[in-house]
Amino acid sequence: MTTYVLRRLLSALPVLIGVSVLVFGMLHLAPGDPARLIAGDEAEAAVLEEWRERLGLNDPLPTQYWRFISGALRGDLGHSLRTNRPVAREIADRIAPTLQLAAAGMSLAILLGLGSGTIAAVFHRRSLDNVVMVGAMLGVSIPGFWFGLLLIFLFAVTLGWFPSSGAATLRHLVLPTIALGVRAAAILARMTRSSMLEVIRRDFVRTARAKGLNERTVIYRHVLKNSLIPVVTIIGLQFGALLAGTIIIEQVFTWPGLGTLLLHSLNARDYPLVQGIVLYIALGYLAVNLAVDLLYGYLDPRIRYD
Amino acid sequence: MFSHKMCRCAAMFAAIAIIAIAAFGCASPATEEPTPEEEVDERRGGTVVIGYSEEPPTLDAHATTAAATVGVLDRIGDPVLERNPETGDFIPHLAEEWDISDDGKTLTLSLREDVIFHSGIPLNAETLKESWSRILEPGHEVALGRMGPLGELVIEDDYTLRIEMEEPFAPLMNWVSWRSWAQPVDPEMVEEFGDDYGRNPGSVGPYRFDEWTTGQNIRLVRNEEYAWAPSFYENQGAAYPDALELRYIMEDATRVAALETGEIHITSLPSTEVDRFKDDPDFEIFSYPRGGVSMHVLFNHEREPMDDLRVRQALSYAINKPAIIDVAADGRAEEAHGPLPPTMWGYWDGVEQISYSHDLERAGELLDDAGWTLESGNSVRTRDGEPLEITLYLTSFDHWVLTAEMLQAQWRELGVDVQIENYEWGTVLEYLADGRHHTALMGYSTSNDPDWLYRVFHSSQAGGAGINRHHIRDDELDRLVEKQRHTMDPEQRLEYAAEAQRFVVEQAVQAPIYILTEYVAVNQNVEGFAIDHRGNWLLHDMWLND
Amino acid sequence: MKTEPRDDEQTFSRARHVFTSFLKHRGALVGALILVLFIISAAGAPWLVPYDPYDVSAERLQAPSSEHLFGTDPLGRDVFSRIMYGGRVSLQVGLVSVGIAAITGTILGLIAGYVEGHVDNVIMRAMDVLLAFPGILLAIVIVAVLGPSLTNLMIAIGIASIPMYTRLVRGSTLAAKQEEYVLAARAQGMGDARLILRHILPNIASPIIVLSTLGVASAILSAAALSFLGLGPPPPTAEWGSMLAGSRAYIRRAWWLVAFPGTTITLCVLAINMVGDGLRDALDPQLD
Repeated sequence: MTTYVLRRLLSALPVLIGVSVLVFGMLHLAPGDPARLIAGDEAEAAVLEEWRERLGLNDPLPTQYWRFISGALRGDLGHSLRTNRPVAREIADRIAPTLQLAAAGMSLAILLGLGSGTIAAVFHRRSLDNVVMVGAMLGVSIPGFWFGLLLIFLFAVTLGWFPSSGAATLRHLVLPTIALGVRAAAILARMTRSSMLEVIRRDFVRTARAKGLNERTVIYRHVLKNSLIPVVTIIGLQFGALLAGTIIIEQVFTWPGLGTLLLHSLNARDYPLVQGIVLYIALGYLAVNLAVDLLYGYLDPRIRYD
Repeated sequence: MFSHKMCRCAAMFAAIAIIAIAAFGCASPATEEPTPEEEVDERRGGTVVIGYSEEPPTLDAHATTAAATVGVLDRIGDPVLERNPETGDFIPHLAEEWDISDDGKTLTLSLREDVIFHSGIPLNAETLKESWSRILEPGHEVALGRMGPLGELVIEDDYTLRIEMEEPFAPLMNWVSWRSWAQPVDPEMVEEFGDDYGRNPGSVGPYRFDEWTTGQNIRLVRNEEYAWAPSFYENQGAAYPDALELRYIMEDATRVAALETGEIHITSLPSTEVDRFKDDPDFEIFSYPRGGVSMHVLFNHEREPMDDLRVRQALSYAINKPAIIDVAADGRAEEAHGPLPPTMWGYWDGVEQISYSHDLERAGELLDDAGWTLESGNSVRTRDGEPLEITLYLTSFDHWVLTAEMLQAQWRELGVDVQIENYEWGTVLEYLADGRHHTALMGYSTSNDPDWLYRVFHSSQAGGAGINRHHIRDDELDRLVEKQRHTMDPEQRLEYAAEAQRFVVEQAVQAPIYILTEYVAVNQNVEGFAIDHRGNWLLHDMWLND
Repeated sequence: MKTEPRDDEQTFSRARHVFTSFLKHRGALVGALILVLFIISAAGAPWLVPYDPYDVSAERLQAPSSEHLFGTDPLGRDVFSRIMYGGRVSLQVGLVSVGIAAITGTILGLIAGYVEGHVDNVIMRAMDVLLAFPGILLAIVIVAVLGPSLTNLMIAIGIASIPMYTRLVRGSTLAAKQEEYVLAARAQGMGDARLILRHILPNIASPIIVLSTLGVASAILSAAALSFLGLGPPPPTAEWGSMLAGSRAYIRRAWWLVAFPGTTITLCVLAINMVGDGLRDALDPQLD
């Protein structure tokens, strides 16, 4: 088990290095000069040149990459070009709101998805099933940012129930959570339903029913637990998608998270900050994947880590 | 998110903080008991929340020109000289008197003696010199760029500072009155925070910096010591509100929604929302023209066919400014006629007589004359078989795209095919410096001195060296803009500036389009909010009535 | 998925089976119907539109009426006509980017699954790198690098979804390789290329078809999201996503500018998803 985790962590390293090369290469190929953005659009050529020199932008690319990656391995991601604060601190300021939002969105998706998926499976081929499935279909088809705008104008502006933006209190969390979670909820509902339907058809469920166990026990004890295995995988995959989704939802609700910071620093060609954020996101993605695989083994003891 | 444990933790922190503050408070002379009459003033108290779309990158006055930064520094600092809100004339402020030498190379400032920084140290010739000297340090070129040929800062006595220039520099007075980088910065706080000063700024203004929650807001609290308000305010003491919260909400729709729900008191309105708020008794609407010329078309004089005066004039005549204003600004803008706005000192109103108004026929004749003719059956003009195709570069700021689409349609009517090239801001700036464009959209707002003419039209600023993105190199224009820069006599300077403006319009160096009108909605609970003729917010008489 | 080699008759009866089970799927039928309408309106837009979608007029911000079914935008252009033209762009983005992703992903997946060993390792690590980059983030960076244009938008969305196909195809190829008929064909000395084309590819086609169908839907959503962030095709192109992004400012005064493009995107994506679902049920591949 420990060796498995260690091996997985070790195999994550080349992926992270690949990500770092990719983001570094793409950023430096992009047009747009960070010096010009820092020095202001009215800066003169001499000033720009001084800035480029100071920022090390005149060094050959391999030198710059080495500076970035060797620093990153030591845990030093450099300083933001725009604000001159350490990248790690910029990220630390923004990561909590994003994780909060993603966690809230995921919780909503799990509750809503598993709940409605179970209902749909139990009421298979009846109207409740149809309602859930139509809802789920809509949920995966609606553009998240548009849904967010609709929520703002319905619940913030027209009804005034929730604030429209910012991240000060729990109430601020409600609308972005819904906008973010609805897609994952829909996907989970569909997955839960089909997974449960498949389990229901299996022999041991028939046996359990034949033994005269009541329906509720059968569903909870036998069906739900056995249906969870593929659902957990989906939860893991969806968490990655959810993190990416925060980039856009954060824009709609001006949520002060990593996504907003990323877009800003991309526009400002703030190389160290963009690189740092992308590395963090990749790291998070790999961590979630590992967690899913471990959970998978816990739920299905047949899987061995060797 | 807010677990019980966290609450306990926070409570403990708060308790420690209170004890700490109490302990330091006793030792520090800075916290005095409020006088009884201040306590009964009903105008005192409350937090006024102002919504902005853009968060500042830093609050270090010397490290950025971002407008968002200026919006904060204007609250926590004061300029050395003020301007009369009605006339725009210079009036004393931190400097009680000033004197310009006959050769125009030195400016002597005599400071008032009762001003103290937020850290408690006095403002005097030495601290002001320290403050301005910081601009010369590496990394602060942004602020230096505006200061011109600075020679030396000389302390004459405790409260007298002399600025010596290498050559006469007419924009110096304007520089000294500037509201962000020329404000004194608190030397003690610079010392204390070093590289982190940009997150912990200090100055001499009516509010002191309190807290910055990245991505959300900046909180400023009242400076109780403040007793040097500019003479045009009724309130000569400390500010009325306990605090100002500057809240950053990027999305227009979201910000407007927050205004309606009362979460924020003051914010500028997108032009599309003005009508809705105009009749709302809960809000008062202020409007004023934005600084600078919000929208103009740059012609690249180094690229064919833009080097041909007739082509530039034809394109200018083909622009229907009112139609563009209707669409891009929802009718809420003034037509621009020249390179400078009417609100700027140095504006020459003669441009209104000689500027180009919509005349498609005239435009067609000019193009015919230049050899670009419209063959029957074609929609695009050609010369020697070559179609008249030009590029229009821009970045997708809100009203820019609409302007570009209108221009594209209007020039197409003339038989000119326009390809819109839409890039991020940094990329556009690079491409314009390289001269890739035929035409480009551009706007400016921060400059308020006619020296702008030098910076955008002088040949030394072309080819990426500065911001002459017209890439124009003309001896006559160079002479005029140099003269306006080095002439200290205001009357004479005005003449040179006027000549330069005439040249720019007659030669169709660029095509000015409009100057946006800025709308600010203020919740009716906020009293005493005012705006001067140049668009500066005057907040010192402001109080919260709730 | 059954994996015996099929002769034409079997293929035909299977196709008929797929077709009839698709027809039994009510949702898929409704979806297909809506989709056909979308395709007709997009393909026939130049002849069907009531107005030129690029014609600027003084009738700005008109509410929906019999004259302008979906109202007009800030430039006085007819929203209905622009939505019809926008369908051309959106469907094109969907199809082309899925084409890029499916073809590249299938080739890489076939190579990885068929050759195995180091090649497999390198390809799959590269896919891991792409996957660790959230799709939308990858697309944002690619568009930022290449500059905003329709082509670059399609490339960006395409590249971002390659790993999904590679993984799927690799897994299916690994499984198909073990099937008896493949082993038999190989024993008979059939060449690699022919083996892949004749036996493996046809047998892993169903999941690719289903994934691609659903992929078109998510590509359209991605394109809308990127346009919302200002990374869409340059103006004055009529594209659903950028129409929506540009009209946010008017939501109270001109609700139709927000309502119609948004509803259109949802409807179109919904239709494709329903068709994809029907295909999935009919072809019955195990997708996760």
